[in-house]
Amino acid sequence: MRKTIIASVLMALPVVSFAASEQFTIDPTHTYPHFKINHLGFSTLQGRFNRTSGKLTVDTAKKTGSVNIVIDATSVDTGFKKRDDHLRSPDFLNAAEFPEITYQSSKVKINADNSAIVNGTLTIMGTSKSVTLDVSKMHCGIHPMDPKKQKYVCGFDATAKIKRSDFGIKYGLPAIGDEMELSFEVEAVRN
Amino acid sequence: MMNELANNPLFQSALAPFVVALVTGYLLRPLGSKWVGLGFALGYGASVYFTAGFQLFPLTSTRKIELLAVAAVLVGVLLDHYKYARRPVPWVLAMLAIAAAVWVIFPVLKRAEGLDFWLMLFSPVYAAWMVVGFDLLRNKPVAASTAAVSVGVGTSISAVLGASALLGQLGGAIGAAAGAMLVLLLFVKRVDLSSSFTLPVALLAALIGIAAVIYAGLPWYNLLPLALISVATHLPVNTDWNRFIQAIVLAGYSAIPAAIAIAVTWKIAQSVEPSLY
Repeated sequence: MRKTIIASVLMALPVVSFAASEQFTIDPTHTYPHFKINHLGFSTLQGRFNRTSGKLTVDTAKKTGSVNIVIDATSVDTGFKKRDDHLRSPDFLNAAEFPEITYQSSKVKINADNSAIVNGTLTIMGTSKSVTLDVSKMHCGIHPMDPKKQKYVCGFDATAKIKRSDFGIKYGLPAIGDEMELSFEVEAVRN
Repeated sequence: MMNELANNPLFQSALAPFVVALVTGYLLRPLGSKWVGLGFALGYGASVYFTAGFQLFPLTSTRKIELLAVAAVLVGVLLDHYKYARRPVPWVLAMLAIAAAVWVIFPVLKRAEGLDFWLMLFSPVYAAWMVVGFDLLRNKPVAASTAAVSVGVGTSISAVLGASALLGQLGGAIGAAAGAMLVLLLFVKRVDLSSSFTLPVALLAALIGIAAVIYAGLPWYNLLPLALISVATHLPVNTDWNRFIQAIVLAGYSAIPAAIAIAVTWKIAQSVEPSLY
């Protein structure tokens, strides 16, 4: 009898562990990194990247997790093809040579009100810098449109500020702003 | 004030390389007439300092081009100052140019498949053609410097109109620094330009043009007229004319292919304004 109990506990351990740290795959149709940048002092140009992939883990018990995002640099979109081509050129993102922008978290702290602070490394054009994402509110639950009520989704909005010159993007400085505001709308489906 | 000047594209890619090339080329004269050509490299280096800086890592294609330019200067100096068997030189330079071009485009070449891969092999051929073409001008300093100005201006304007302002500025620096060499050649005695000038000019122009095609979307056929610039300066010139007249005629010859390259890009871009503005 005691052996059976021990065996049952041992068999349950991986399940408990899985439940504690759940893995998610980013939903590219609901995940878009946006950016804002000052345009010659006149206005604030906004754009986004149309293709993003990646993984999340969420450990609700320990109030932590991880974020791994890969952004397709060639998918930059400001609503004007000629400008987008320029943004893909070596003047800015050099997307042919560096097709991926990545963000890899190193520490995630989920607060009691479901806001979070994510410390991690942003890599653009081969240059990596520490960037902190400020997550306003994280929400996880069954997707209301799923007829089987099985699709479990986690989502959040995050913001960060970077200086493009830190990543070697110096074209047009100082006329075109150095500081960029990044915002991420992220949704991920549990594996 | 100084910051504004240092950030001005015209200063970065025209005034600075021209003045630095002119002054250093002049100062190098006492070392020997063939050392004057190093003024081009120093003038170009000044432009790199202001436009991109001397940072080496991460090793982007643009930084690879700067490193290869330094190597080209060293090889050029060796060719200028040491005796060697001349026959294999063009072949060796062609092989080195092919290797250089493959290194610059490798990040994209390794991902390319099918027709894209084969089209990219046009790039090493262009680099070899340019280097050998300019090597044939090593004993014709006026022709070499006029061709260098044209190829620099042609590459620069094509890149700015159709591809990338950074590459355009670096191309412009070739034209400006080569222009300074032409001025020294015409107005100062004991000036000669040989491989330490022609090799870096040709390799830089080729690799900047290739980078504009591979990394910034400049149409590949834009490079075809630029490839004809060194050939154009072999057209007949009356050697009885003085150097000024010869330079004007040769500049006219070499300007035609450059103008065609610019016109082709203009037609495609359908606008003279950079997309950013």
